[in-house]
Amino acid sequence: MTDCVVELRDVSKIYKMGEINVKALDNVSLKINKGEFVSIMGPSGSGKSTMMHIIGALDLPSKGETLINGNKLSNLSEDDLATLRGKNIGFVFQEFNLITTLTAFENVRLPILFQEDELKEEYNKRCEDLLKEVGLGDRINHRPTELSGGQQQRVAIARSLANNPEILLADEPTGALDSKSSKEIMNVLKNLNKKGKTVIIITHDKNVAKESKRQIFLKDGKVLTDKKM
Amino acid sequence: MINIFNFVLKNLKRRKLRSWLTIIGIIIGVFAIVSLMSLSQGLKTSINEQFGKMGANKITIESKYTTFGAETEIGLGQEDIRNLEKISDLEFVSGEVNANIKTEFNGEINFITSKGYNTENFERILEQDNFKLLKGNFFENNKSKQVIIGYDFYNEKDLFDKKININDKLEINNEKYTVIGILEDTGSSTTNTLMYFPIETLIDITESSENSVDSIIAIVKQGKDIEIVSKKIEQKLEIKRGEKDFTVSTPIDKAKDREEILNTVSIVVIGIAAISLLVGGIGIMNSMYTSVLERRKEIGVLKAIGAKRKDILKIFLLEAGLIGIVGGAIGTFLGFLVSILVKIISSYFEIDLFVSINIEIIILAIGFSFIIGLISGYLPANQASRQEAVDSLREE
Repeated sequence: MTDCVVELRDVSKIYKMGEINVKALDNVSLKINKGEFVSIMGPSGSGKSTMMHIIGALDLPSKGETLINGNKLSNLSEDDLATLRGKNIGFVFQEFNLITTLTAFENVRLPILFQEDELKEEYNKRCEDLLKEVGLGDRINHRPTELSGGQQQRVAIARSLANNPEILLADEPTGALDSKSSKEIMNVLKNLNKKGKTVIIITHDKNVAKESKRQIFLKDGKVLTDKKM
Repeated sequence: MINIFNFVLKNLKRRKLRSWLTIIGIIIGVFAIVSLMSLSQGLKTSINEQFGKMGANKITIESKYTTFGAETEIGLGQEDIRNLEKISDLEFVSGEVNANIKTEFNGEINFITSKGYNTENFERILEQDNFKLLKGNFFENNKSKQVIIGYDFYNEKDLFDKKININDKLEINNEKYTVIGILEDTGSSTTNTLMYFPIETLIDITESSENSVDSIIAIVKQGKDIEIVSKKIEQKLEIKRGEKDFTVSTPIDKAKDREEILNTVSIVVIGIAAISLLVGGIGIMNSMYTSVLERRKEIGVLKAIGAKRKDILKIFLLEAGLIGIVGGAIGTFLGFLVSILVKIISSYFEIDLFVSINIEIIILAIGFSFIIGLISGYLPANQASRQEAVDSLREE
């Protein structure tokens, strides 16, 4: 129990599209343990994104229960969910989603602003260290527009680590990158996993999935296969 | 270093043009209000100051009927003055006659505004208006053919080409009147171009009856309540004259009247200016709604990385408030600048305007525009804070 950081219990997610109900997730149960490197795969429409939103506490299931670190999410208010996301889950998006007006450093610093005692000096040091860790020690004061795609994604990874979460949730992290940058990003993620972070990647790219230690394949909102490599 | 304020500032800079256009909307409104407020407050100050100069213990009694200097029984006259002199609360009483006198000096003719008072207390009457004799003497008696002139006759050549001095003779109705005194500079061209006569002399010049002074001024003794004394005057005169065909007014009454008129004018004018501030507020709202729409994705990301509803609300409210503050500050500055400009321009036309620049107006204007920003920004900010993170992220 202590090892399980994410648990889905009989989770279904139903969207209303006009008259018809679409089941994006259909009675899915799974457990992800601390330190795992998981890729969630599947064709478009298989429920990958919905699963990411539910694991990331951005959305609650229509049926079933999500547990993060053993805490049931259905009991939490919207603000509690936001706090939980900020502390426990680092998001990495396909399109990086950095704030273009802020420098690399400020982007990494941003998540801490929404936590308590957000102005502590020691956080600045941590943010700098994180940027060094992803290999951008010399780009701290650059704006996103002055950085390559791969560099931007590394800033985004550093940002996701700002509050030192145990889970890293990456949605097609290499989807907008060339193969060289993709490799770099995957190396960064692998290294983080080695250091003990739980990494969950949503992807449709088999080469990316290959790097992970566990592959979950979704189809029509159901888990088709769940293999440890 | 980054904090929420810094972040907000950068957001505004990102849409520089739109931010400034929105700010201009506020600037115009605040500018209008501040310039009008400082001018109208200045006007109030200068009027009050003039009243201060006029003396706070002067009661003015006027006939309800205009007499036009004609032979008439209904005007106020020397008998009324003698009756009022019996009131012990009064220091002294004097008649006042006003006339425009055709005056000749050195072959040149001008019409001069003139005032006649009882000569016994002439010096005290001048003191009431803060006027003093620069040189010369006061009148010998109520009938002497003497005149005291304002400073401009002595110092400037505007009225008569030749400057007038003590012992010069002015010719009025083919009779000579000796300049016996010259008043100090009062600072106002209106009072600097007055002539003063003994009351009966002026009545003679205007060929009106003894019983037709234009008004009676009564100076209340120190320490006496002017309102109570003015009631006494009213009762006494009514008994003596048999009817209340006159008005008794104190400086307080007059100040009240003028202030009421001024207040009404200010309220109307500032009300109109406030409409432009309202339009400015709608501008902020419009700009913020657009911003919320544009930044749906950003809001989603912020929520994903841990921003709570109140964090998003704070960010957007601060942006709107900041637009208000910047607009308010610039508008206040411009408002004062323009009122000072108006003062300078009007001083060229010899109009003495006070411009009141006080900290209250500054705090009020900037604080008010901040609040307008917050109010206008509330609905958009609220919409932003209620946005579901998952909805905005799905729009990729």
